Amino acid sequence: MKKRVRKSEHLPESESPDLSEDEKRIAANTRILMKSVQEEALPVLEKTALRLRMEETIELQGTRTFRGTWLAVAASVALLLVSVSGYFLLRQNTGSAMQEEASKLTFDTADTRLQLADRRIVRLSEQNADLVYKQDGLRIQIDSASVVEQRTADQAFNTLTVPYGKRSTVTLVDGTKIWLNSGSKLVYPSTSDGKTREVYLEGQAYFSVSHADDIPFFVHTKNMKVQVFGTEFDVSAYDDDPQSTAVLVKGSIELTANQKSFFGSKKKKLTPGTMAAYDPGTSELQTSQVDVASYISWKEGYLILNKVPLPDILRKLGRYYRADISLGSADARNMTFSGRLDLQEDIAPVLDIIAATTSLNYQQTERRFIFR
Amino acid sequence: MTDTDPGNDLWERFVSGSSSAFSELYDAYTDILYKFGMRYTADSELVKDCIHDLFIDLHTYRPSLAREVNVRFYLLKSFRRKLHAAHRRSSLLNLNRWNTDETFGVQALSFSIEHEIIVDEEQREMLEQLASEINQLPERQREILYLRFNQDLDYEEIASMMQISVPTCRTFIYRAIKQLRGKLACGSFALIILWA
Repeated sequence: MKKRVRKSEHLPESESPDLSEDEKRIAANTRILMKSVQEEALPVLEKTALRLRMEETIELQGTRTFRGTWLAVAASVALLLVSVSGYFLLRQNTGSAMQEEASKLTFDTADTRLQLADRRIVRLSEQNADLVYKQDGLRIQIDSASVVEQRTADQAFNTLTVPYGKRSTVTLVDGTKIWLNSGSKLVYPSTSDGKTREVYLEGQAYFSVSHADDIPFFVHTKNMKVQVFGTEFDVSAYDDDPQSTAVLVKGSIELTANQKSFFGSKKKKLTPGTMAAYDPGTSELQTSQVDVASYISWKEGYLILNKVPLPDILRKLGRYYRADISLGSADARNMTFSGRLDLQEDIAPVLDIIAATTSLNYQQTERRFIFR
Repeated sequence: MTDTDPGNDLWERFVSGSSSAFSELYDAYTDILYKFGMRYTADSELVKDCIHDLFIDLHTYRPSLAREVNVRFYLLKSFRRKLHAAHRRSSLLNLNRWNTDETFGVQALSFSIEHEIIVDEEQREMLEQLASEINQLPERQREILYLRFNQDLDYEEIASMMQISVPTCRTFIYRAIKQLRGKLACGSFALIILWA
């Protein structure tokens, strides 16, 4: 709370002689709340950048005045018009614009799909598609075999949807590499403006962000925002998981959860080896020390499990293999499983291992598996 | 305006033409303006653009500016006008032309009550309820409450900022408070905290 002492401290008497006791209390509480409004500070670097921009404008004005005030007026009108259209374009470049973009594309096919800035859709049938952006994002190398070129409109996005059963890696122009797990969507600007680096994620991804001192990299998800400068971490934000998590491998990240809640957009700085888990149901953000390997092993094609509840494992495998795996036995819901599952194998041998260790059986009908 | 603004001295030096004062003014008020602007829009680029334009205006019109002003209020007011204009321009550019949405005000607020201040679960609950009611108020009412209780502006200042009369402003605040129900818990710990 700010300790700002100014006039008007004596609200109930001076302000509202005709308010009832209850209303006075409401006024007092309103003051308490208003004094504790969460404020978003201007980052120091941005403040400095803004000052420089201002000084440039002033210098520009200085040279103009020599040629007469009229020109200066005309120029500032032109500048104004430019900055107005600038607002409009900049407004697009936010997490929410990307979130909207993500909601437009569904996982309705078995292929990984890349939507380009010009709305063309490239289908990638490989199990693990590999995309590398080159030349400011205008050329995209796909699996070292083919190259796609895109025409770009300013600030437009590319969207990559990876269905269940597939994985994908993307290398952005700045060198940042992102591993996308099954059932994930990633939205990112089609070109880099060199000023901001922002992506929107649904599902799970592992980020290896290339370092840039003054350009933060933002990962937005439905309930979280992660800000980093250059580091490696995993973010998991599946709609059908009860929690969204971020696990930091090295460096540092700043995580903000649920910015819109009344009592807590919650901010946390993570240190390596820490997992932050946000539960939108209870609005709680908790951190714990974890064995990092078990959270990121999926990108190497195996799962390391350390006392993981069976339903969670089956949900993960279902995504990974695009199969519907359910648990028919209520007793088995509390079972946990530790060990290593090799996901390079087909689904059947993997499920066999689980069946053997849990002494359950499973029945298969096409892509449906039921454990009993 | 009973108290003199600490920025007054700085302001006079600025109007007299000191270039270091301009820079000090930027340092002293940019953060305040930024936080204030972020109440009206989530678009930080737009807020920065408006700060830029405001200081450029100050620099350009420096010789003709009044010397005797409440600096903080003067800057907040001019800044709010800029935000408002930028907001209108960007909604004009919006494709949704028919939705001539004239609303401009303080967005939904998120509050953070520190644990040391309120430990009582009941009061916490009450404040939470009130918070949600404040966020359901019309934008202009929420804005008035914000200007009054967060920015500590008086009725004259709020009225002049929002271009309404002082009595209207007064009524607005009464009405907003009367509308807020806020789950009332018995006891008066809220008041104790207020006077503490």
